[in-house]
Amino acid sequence: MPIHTNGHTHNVPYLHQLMSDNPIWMHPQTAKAHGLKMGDTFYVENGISKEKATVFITEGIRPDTLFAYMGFGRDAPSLKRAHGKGLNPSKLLSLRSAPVCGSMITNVGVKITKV
Amino acid sequence: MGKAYRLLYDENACIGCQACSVACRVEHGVPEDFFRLQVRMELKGVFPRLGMSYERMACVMCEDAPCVSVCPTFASFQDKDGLVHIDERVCITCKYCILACPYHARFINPLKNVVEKCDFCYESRVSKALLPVCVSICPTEALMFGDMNEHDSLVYETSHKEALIFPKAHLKTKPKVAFLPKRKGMKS
Repeated sequence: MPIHTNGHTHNVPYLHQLMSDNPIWMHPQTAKAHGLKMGDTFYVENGISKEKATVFITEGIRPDTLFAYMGFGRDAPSLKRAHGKGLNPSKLLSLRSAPVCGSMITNVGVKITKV
Repeated sequence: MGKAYRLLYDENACIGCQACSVACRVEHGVPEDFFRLQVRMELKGVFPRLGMSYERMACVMCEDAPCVSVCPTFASFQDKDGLVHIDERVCITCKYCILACPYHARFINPLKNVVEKCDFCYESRVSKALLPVCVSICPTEALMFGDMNEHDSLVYETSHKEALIFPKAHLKTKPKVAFLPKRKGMKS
């Protein structure tokens, strides 16, 4: 459900009430292969970072893909509602940008490990 | 002749955007964790054959309202046009109406300490010849509201063109809210 805009709106009360967390979407087959049940905590890891996340098992994602909304996992304590909630997926993304157009990477491969 | 209000919810147009539920929350100051209006979403099917279904859940203003007949203090009452209201001065929050409502439309407002539910925006809008907030804000025009006694109204014309489903019709509460069921892309 498209509730929040980029990383800006996560502390807005009406929107925070509708979506306050960003568990990672995972297909049931993938979850079963990694021994994960709904709501389990697990690690996503790549060459850049290793992050802890919660799983949301749904048919609405390809078995070879994971999805997470952006803009969560806020650091600033003054964002009283959003602070500390959810995962910051951008920590797994590279900071490299393309030479001419400046576009950056938004999809990245990760390894799933159980906690 | 009194009014015969009807609210139509078009399942084919609803995109589950939650604009109606947020607008209702803003209009009536509904406390967090409680709702007068909800649009529930469900993902159906197995990948890759998937579909979303949405369902509006709020008071349906029954003609034969169980919440009115069980209220011990007459706080839950019906006006001459059949709309069910709550008299906050005499509600004792016994919760009998909450139990009696088959649509789970009622809740206790912890700030005002009385029972609350969707009121079709009667006080704030309908009594001033405006549309309820959810109807006026819906971006896909999935909601229609009007008087069935006005034969040129949108609700009257739509009711006679489309198949309607009344939620929990088997309970014979005679709701004023009806759904236009999903046609899955077929023309009406």
